[in-house]
Amino acid sequence: MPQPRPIVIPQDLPLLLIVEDDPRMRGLLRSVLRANGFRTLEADTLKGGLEIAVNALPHFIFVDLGLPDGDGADLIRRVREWSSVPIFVLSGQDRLHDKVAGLNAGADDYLTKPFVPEELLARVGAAFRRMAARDRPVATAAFETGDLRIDLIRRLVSVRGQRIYLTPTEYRLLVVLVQHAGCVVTHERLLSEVWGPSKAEFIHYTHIYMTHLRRKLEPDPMNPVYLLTETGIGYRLSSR
Amino acid sequence: MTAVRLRPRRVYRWLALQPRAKQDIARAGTMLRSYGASLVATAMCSMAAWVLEPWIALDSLVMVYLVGVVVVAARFGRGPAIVAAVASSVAFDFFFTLPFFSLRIADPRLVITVGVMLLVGLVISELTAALRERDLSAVEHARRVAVLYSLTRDLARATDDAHIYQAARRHVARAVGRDVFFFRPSESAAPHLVEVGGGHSASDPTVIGIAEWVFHHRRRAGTDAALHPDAEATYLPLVAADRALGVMMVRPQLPGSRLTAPQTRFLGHCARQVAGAMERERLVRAAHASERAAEEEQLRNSILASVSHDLRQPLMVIEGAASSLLEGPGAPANPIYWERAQLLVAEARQMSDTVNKILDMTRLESTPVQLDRRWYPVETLVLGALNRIRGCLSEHVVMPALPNDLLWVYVDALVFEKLLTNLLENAAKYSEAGSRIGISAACFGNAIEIRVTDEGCGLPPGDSDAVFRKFHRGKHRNAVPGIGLGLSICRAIVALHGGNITAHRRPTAGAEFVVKLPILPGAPAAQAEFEVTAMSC
Repeated sequence: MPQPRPIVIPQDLPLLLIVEDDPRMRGLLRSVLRANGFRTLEADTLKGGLEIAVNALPHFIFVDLGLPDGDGADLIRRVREWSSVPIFVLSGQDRLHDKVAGLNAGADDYLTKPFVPEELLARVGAAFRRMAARDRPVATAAFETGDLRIDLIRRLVSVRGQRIYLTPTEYRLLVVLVQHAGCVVTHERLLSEVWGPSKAEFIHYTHIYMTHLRRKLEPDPMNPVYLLTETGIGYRLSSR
Repeated sequence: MTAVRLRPRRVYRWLALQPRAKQDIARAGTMLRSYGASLVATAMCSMAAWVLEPWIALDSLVMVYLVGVVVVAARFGRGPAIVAAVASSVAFDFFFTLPFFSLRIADPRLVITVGVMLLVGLVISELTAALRERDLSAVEHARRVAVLYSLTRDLARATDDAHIYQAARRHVARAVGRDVFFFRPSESAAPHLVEVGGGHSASDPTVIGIAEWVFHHRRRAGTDAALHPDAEATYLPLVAADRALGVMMVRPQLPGSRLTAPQTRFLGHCARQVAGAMERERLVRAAHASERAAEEEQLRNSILASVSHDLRQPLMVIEGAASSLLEGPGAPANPIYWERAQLLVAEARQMSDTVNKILDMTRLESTPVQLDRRWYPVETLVLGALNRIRGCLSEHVVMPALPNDLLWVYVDALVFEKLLTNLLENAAKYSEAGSRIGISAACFGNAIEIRVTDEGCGLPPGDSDAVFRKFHRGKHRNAVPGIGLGLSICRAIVALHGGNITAHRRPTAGAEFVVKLPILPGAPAAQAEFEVTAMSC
């Protein structure tokens, strides 16, 4: 058994951890991320990934869920016990249940393989911005994306300066999405954060209230730009 | 009901033409011979009595005659024995009592002797004949039991249906002198029966007709049964474990001979044995088949897994690596290299798509497909699908038209999204950039209809259903990439959800695809009754 090595990390560039057992995919991620000014660490097992996460304290973690020595969702749960570092799930196109399991375990978002580098970088960028915003309490007073503005202190929602009236449920739903702006929020998490954990079987509430929100906030509800649907997973508030 | 095919009148007419008379003549001949023999025996007894008369008393001569009666009864049975008893009494009276050669009897004591002789003769003939019959039936019974044993042994040894038929045929012929024919449900045209195991009785439709009646009612018919008693043969249903497996037809080798009660019982036993053997054969075959199916399923899964791993993963890496060339600090400054990288991306993406479609089709065709069905509004699914393939639709104007009230469908979200994305991709593929693609949903009667329309080249002429066939390509096959699986996948998905999909030519231009899903009970209420209370905004 190899002894945990102390890892020396220069502090200037963001450090990303990739936990993935396929070396080709790891290589691709490494090349894309390094080319864009990130430093990367890699692990191909759950154990190794956890070890590096504890020792090196990366700023960002990618986890593939099908690891040879266990379920990536366990790794996410373990890391979440002591850290709020952004975690992305890497998963194949058809692994819907894996994605939902990873997201419910505490991951911030997922990336479907094969990913377009542009999208990868945009998501990582959004995650870093959100982290930075979280560290500056004043900045969370209002959230803006496109023409949509949400004043969290005065509970005001407006589109192009026009005030929009929301029911309490709709507003709470919107706030949960704002808290995870740019990231997908699963139906399960929306339900438990808006309606409480006891309503887990009423997933259709989320569909109904998201439809209401879309009709109130979107300029064209049939071509939504803010409230995006991720079939079978949940909803995402666009932060671009 | 197949019983409709029975035409009893025709059966009777046909039977009337059979050469039954020959039989009767043969039987009458046998009878005549045995009665003649009984008279001859009486005559021989008379001769013996005449020879012995000088030495023994007149009363003892009666015994000579009784010996004759016993012999006749033992050899020829009841009827000839009675004739012999009566003839002996008459002969004794005629030849040995005074006056000779007359039926009158002078001595009144001898009247009693003759009377007792007749009585004893009759009793002896009755007893001896009964004994003889019992003996004969015991022998018969033993023979049938022996045959049944060896039939059971042969059936246990049989490894396929042909052996079963052969064994039954051989043993029944040996035991009761009858030919056996078998009828089983036809594999291609069930529930109709066909003759199996080599035979040539099936040419007659009435035979098949009776056999089918027996098969469906699980009751005997034919000779000695309630239905069609005049038919030439006996039909026995082959029933095992409450399932009718076929029909056994038993036809006498000599037309017209009847079955005795023990023979009927014997045939019943045979039919049960044969049915048991057939059922065992069927179960063995079913076990083999399910074993094979499990092996095939395992093989398919391992092929799927390895295709998925060995083809998709490298393609993902190629696509990712090539598209990383297009952006960021490493992007080539030379437009030629940039173009080549773009080509790589497009081709890798196309190939991934093809591999994914093949995998989808294989999964949908493997049984059983596990669906995770939940209630979703059509709107959510449509917007989700549009969101997923927005890159592919970026050159078209997509116009969703969904009703204000939510339409709920009970579907597997991921699988159903594949249906919608395939339809939308298909529309985008076969229509010009800048043209409109419509997607609408509405409730009509007891079905929810989802329509995808385009303004493209429409459907190829001819059968509009052909587009759903596997590997079918439109006329622009060379200009448009793909292998013709998208719409077949759509049809498989819709079928899994209990609906149907059709393709139409639009009156103006382009094609329209209509998915119809049945409305199922249990949809959530249109308005959520669960508003959180507390603060207002």
